Amino acid sequence: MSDGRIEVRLLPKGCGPQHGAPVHIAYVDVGEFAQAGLALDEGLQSIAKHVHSPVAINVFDMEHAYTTTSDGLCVAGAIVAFAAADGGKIHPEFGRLFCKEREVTPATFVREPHLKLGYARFPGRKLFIGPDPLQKIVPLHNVAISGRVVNNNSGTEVMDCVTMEEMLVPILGQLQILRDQDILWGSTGKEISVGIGCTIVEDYSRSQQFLQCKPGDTAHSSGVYAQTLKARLPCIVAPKEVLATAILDALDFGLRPAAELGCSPAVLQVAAAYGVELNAHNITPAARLELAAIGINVDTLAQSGPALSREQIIRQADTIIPGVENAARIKSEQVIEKIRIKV
Amino acid sequence: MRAMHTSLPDWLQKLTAAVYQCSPLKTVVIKGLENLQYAKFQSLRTGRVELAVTALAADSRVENVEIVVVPRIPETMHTIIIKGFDKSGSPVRAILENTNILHPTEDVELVGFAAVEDRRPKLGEH
Repeated sequence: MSDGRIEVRLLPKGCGPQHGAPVHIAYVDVGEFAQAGLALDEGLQSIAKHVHSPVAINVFDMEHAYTTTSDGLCVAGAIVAFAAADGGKIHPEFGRLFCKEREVTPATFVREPHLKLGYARFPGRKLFIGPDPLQKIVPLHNVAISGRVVNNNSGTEVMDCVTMEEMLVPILGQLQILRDQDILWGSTGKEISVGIGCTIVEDYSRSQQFLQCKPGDTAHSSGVYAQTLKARLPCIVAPKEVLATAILDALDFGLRPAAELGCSPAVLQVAAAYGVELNAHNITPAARLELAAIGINVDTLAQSGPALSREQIIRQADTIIPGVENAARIKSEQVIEKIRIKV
Repeated sequence: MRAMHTSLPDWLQKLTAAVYQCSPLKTVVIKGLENLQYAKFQSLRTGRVELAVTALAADSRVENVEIVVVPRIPETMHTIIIKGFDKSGSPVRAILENTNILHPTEDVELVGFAAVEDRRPKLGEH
């Protein structure tokens, strides 16, 4: 029973690597709103009012939803709404967006084959990735803005557009926080900078309505400069064995890099270590150029050594998966304040 | 007021005059249009803005009026025009690019104001 309060996990502004979080970041499960009898908008307003400072708010459904990563991995838990609030207010026109509940059927797999895993593995869950564009009054990016707070790419990139500080918060790291599990934080580095561009075709995606980057291609298409695009940002991600497990789950299900999954450095390195087909022939010259610039040769990667078992890869994930500079592993509870807000 | 669009110099003059007509001792500052050299403004809304400026300037508590123009939509797409000229000043080559700019919303200009009267119509209804 609700005691008239909702539990919110709060990463305070300034907490984190480099300059830390540019604004407060509030994480809440939609079940908290349901128990308190609040509609989504009411719950968001309660948090905005309570924090009364610049805050990005991400609402999760950890029990009934699943989502995807930018390289096409299906994972349990999803952001179902995201908002930006400043001075206790959510901007009425641009301050919040609700993610679209996707209908997934076998017909969906023709265009988005990476969703096969979620369909099979999470039969009772609904898919949420990015917002429903029909709720936008102007064709903004998938972004919520209030005052100085920018909550971008459906809740995975936060900024203060007055101080112009920014932080990258990929979905797997946020799911760790919702589960009170360990997180990894540091600076993004060149591998993440390249990796977040190695996406897949996806409708109502986190970044845009129709993401058109075929597996094996790069959405950034920035050549040797892809490694610098997002290379010096503070970030919070999942520990590498968590990412390795999600990649191995997809590989064990039969999904492959540059076929159903993106060709991000993490996916390629785990797939190579596991000894599965990398589909190097599907990796475009533009993606090859970006990967080669950070030392990944897709033609020789598969021959880099004997195949490892699933358990070996998970155990050695820190050395197999590249990315995150000056990384520190911490218990999320060390830095996340759990607050109970009266509603 | 004639139903025609107002030129940029006229617009600046009208709003400045709206303050001085209340008192030449009061000051007015207009921000946000520094890069505009030429533009036309909706006349109907120019009149409404003039009325709002007059209302504030006529308030005996108000000594200084500040008028700030910001994009209402906080993510705007801009065209970048890159032009190259030769030493005689003749055009050689130009490239068009575009970029989205994320701006703060109007709230950052309103810090400290308890009384804010929002007279803007909803987006799409103006």
